[in-house]
Amino acid sequence: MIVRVRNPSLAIGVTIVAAIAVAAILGPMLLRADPLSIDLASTLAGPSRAHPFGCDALGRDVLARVLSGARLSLSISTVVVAISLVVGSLIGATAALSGGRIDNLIMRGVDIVLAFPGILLAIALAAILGPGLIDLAIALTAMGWTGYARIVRGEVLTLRERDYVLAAESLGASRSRLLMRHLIPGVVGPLAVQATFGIGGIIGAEAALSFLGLGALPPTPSWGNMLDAGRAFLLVAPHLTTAPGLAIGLSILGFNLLGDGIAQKAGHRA
Amino acid sequence: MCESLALILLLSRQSGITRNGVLTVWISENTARLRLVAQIAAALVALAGCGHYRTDRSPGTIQVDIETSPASTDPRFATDATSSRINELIFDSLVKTDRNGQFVGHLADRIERPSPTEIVFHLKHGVRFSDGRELTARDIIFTYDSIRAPESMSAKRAGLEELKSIDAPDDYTVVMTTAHPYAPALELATEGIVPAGTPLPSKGTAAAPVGSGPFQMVGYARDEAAWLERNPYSSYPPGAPRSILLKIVPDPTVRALELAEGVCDFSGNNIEYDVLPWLGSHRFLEVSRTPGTTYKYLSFNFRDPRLRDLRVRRAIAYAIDRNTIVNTILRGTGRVATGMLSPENWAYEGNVTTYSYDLSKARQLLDQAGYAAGSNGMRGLRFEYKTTPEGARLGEVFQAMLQRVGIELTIRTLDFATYYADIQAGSFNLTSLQWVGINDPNSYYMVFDSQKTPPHGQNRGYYSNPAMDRLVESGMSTVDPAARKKIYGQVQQLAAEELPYVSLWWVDNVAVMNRRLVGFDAYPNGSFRSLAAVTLSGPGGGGEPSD
Repeated sequence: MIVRVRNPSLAIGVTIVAAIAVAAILGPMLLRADPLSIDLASTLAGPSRAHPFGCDALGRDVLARVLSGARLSLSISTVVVAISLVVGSLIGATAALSGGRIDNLIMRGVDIVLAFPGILLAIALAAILGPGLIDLAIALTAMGWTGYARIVRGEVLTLRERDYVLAAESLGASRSRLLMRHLIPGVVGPLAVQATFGIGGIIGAEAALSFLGLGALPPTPSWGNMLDAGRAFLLVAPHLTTAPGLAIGLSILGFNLLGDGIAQKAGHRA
Repeated sequence: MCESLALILLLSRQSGITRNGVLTVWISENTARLRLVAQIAAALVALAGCGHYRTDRSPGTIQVDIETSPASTDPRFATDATSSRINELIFDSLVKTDRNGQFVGHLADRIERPSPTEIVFHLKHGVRFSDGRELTARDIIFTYDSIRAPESMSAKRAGLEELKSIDAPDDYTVVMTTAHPYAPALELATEGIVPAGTPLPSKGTAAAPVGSGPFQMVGYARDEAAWLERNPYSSYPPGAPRSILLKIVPDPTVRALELAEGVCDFSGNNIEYDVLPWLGSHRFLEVSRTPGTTYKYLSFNFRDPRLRDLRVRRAIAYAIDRNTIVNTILRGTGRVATGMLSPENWAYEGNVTTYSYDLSKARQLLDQAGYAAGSNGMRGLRFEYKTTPEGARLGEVFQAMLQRVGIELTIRTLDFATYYADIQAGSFNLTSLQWVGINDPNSYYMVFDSQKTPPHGQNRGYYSNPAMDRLVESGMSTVDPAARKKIYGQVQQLAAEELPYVSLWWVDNVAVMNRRLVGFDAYPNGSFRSLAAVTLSGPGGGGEPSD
């Protein structure tokens, strides 16, 4: 019997994301190797029983570093997306509900931020704030909130014109009741999709900034700085770049499929 | 300012002293990363696509890959090592250093020193610039005057401060007078000579002026390449290369691939050590390692009171396992150093205080200095180690080694321009750099004399010791070689005792070349000069890789 998966994107996405999350949470506990311990004797060693993904340029276990990098990537992207989502939604909702000049002012502000290429803005901010994880999160949030603001504003503006909202309004429902009962539930779907894509995007952006030396500081392993450090050894130790590269690719794929899946599901329901 | 490329190469950005004591900086390449990715991709495609790569070079041309553009193609202005390497092929100077670092006459046939402050150079006759003009004393006076002119803005001016006057009694005689008896005076005579009337260079992109050296620069595109052709008025052995393409390739992986493809014929000191065995496995490539004079050191900032404590500096020296680093990270291409001067130098003194890897001594010293270890073994000693992306790997090794004795190192990786500005401004705790082309021990004056803090010199750690000042200043004015050697023996011992630097290692010269280049003579200072004298094997002087 052939099982027909109705939403393959969702299924694959959930599987990949769950696998990465489990590996990130449990992996470092199960693995004996320390991602920070340097062993100069096994510099650039290839994959072996003791080190399934080999060792890096300082003899550190690559698998342990990839797993530890997964923790960092997942936690940073979740935190950044959560903050961006809350901040962006509040700003978007404020703009939509205020209307008029305030709306105009806020949205032009959003346009200005959007006009900068996102990664460039993050680079500029990281350069000003100095490298480090907290600064990295601030930089990524600073470029990430605008998408949510626009979505929420757009959704709220359309929802406001819906008959059931107008009905509630004419029945004298308070502003906060309108927001909580009618508007917010309406924007949750699109926001969830955006947030899921957002996590994938932030994983990529974090890797890019760490690759440029603006993210996680050594010795903290991050996929981006592992790629960067491994680049010089492409010819003799390709495992140094393959492992974090695959991890980045797989996790972004996972989150994007998940986002697609959610969008499909939300679409069916509507 | 663009972002800097994170090329993992210890050697690609270096700073050093040129022969005349002027600071040498391997200027950082600042190129868009995209370009780099494209380069790697192109090289990988080339690697995958053709086992028998055919080069489109004309016969008699060799390609040399360099990592950065020269800072200036005018020898009167260039102080960076890339420029020095190229300029040696194009310009002649009154004297040059031989392969052992001794000064020998070059344009000068005969050199006399009638008094401690006076040097007379008798010039060779019949030397011609590549445009056919004869080189005479007038060109030499012109070159020196244009460097020394207040409006020249040349970084070389400071290096010529001791030169009081330079005169030409006739077309074939030059007389230099120094303000005081100045021992390293012949260093003043190493400037590359340009023809009288050569204008000051306009913005960076122009090809070099003509010179009297074996080659002339016929084309130059910044960040791409420089094209050298033979000077038609200079003779060369049959079979020697007629032209050299100096291609600027910032990425070490691309450089390695180009060697492996037979595209590039020669690469000097710019290949990642870990890639050398792979390159060596290609039958048509030769990897040569010779002892070098480049000195790698760890520098302390004496404006930090914690680092002013000798016990802390010694603890750090004991905590760094230099033998292991040389054998693993450097793959054996270096020698653990005792001081700035390598054993090849005439003034070298090897019998000095040394610090072999000893964790218990390091811990003991830190205890004595009042930094007791806490429950986690750390001692509340936290230093910032600044580095360029290429040096980050070494920084992480230091970080791990110092952690063993309870010292925390935070690594700040900066692009070269920012890094260098910070180091010059004294904004660092610890950093590691290297001096390239150390020749005369007067270098000690530039780096350890208390007056020579930036911008007056290279004492970037603000080390200050009256005993050191006295020694390096008398070393400069003592002309008698035996007496000088004795002085610099004391300097080397004092430096080893007081540790303004922790001596790390002398970097070997590593040249990777196509075997069609025959007879390359590797100089300890890494000079390209003998490229002019190699011969090319194979038909038409253009061999091809066979596998």
